[in-house]
Amino acid sequence: MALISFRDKMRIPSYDNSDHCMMAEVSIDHDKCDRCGLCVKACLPKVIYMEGKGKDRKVLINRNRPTGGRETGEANCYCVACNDCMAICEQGAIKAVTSADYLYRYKQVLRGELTPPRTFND
Amino acid sequence: MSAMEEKELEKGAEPSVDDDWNPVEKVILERRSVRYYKPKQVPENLVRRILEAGRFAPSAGNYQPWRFIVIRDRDIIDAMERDIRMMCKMLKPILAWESSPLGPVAKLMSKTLTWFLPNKLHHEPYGAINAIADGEVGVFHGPPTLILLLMDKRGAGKPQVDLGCCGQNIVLTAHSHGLGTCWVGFVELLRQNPIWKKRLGIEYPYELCEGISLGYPVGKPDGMIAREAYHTRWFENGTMKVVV
Repeated sequence: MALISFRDKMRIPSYDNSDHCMMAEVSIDHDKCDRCGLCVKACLPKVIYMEGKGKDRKVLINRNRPTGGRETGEANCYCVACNDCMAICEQGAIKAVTSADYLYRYKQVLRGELTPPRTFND
Repeated sequence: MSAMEEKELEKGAEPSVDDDWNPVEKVILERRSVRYYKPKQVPENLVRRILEAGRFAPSAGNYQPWRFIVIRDRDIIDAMERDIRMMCKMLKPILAWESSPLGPVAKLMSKTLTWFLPNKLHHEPYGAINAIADGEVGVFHGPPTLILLLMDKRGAGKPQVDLGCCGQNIVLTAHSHGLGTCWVGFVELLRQNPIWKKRLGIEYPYELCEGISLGYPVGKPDGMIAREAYHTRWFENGTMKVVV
């Protein structure tokens, strides 16, 4: 059994179709978040953004589809799973939920769960 | 390893592995691609020291197919960024069928091209081309120093792999000195550009292959994070198992 069938191999996913391209996702724990804004600066595609000013400001995640914003004129945002936000957060408030996946030609295979570095010393 | 440890290993004792990460592992595991730099310039001696690490990378047949260009002028980095953006703007109408005036024709064209260029038109660079063309994403992300990696086209075996080893040495050494780096493959769009070839003095047998942004990161982007684990096939004692 091939990892990717010939049919799938010949088919290029439509990048604007959310059934074909699943973007990576991160979550923010608002209790831990101290709203320093470092993650907002570190986020390349501007998926993480700050809303409001002063004490009421809140860090939010834009879940727009990569091309979904085109028609409405919104920014073209999607998570590339660089996880810079998670690494830069001093409060440990950001967690990766899922990593990116695609269908057909670019389907991810032989992949396991999101796992922190291990020493295998048990 | 001490002489005593070596003797014990020879007797068949299990080598001891520390619970803590050793300094090299720590640098590897904490390295992130940094896309937000302080304007502070990196000292010249430090850049040269980092390039030394690249010089001592392994390569096929010890051919060392790499050469470096260091750019520390804001104007040149900005001009390169502008021209890469211009290239992306030219590519966008052919590729981005959602916004292209050509509509379904562009979709057919884009998908056909993807068969022939599956790596260049993978979802990630494809999205980046559109975002750079729209001006939503930067190319180099404002580093004070930019290292360009040139590849000798006559290199032995797979010179691209050798260049990768060299770049990884550069990136890890930079991180061990508290610097941030980011690989910028989009410099490739200037590879055939005669103006840039002349300005940077790139001639056969060398071609522009990769760029590495270098600078002091804002914040401390070096926490250890989770990442996807992959299946590894393990053959031992006549059996096979899959470990994740």
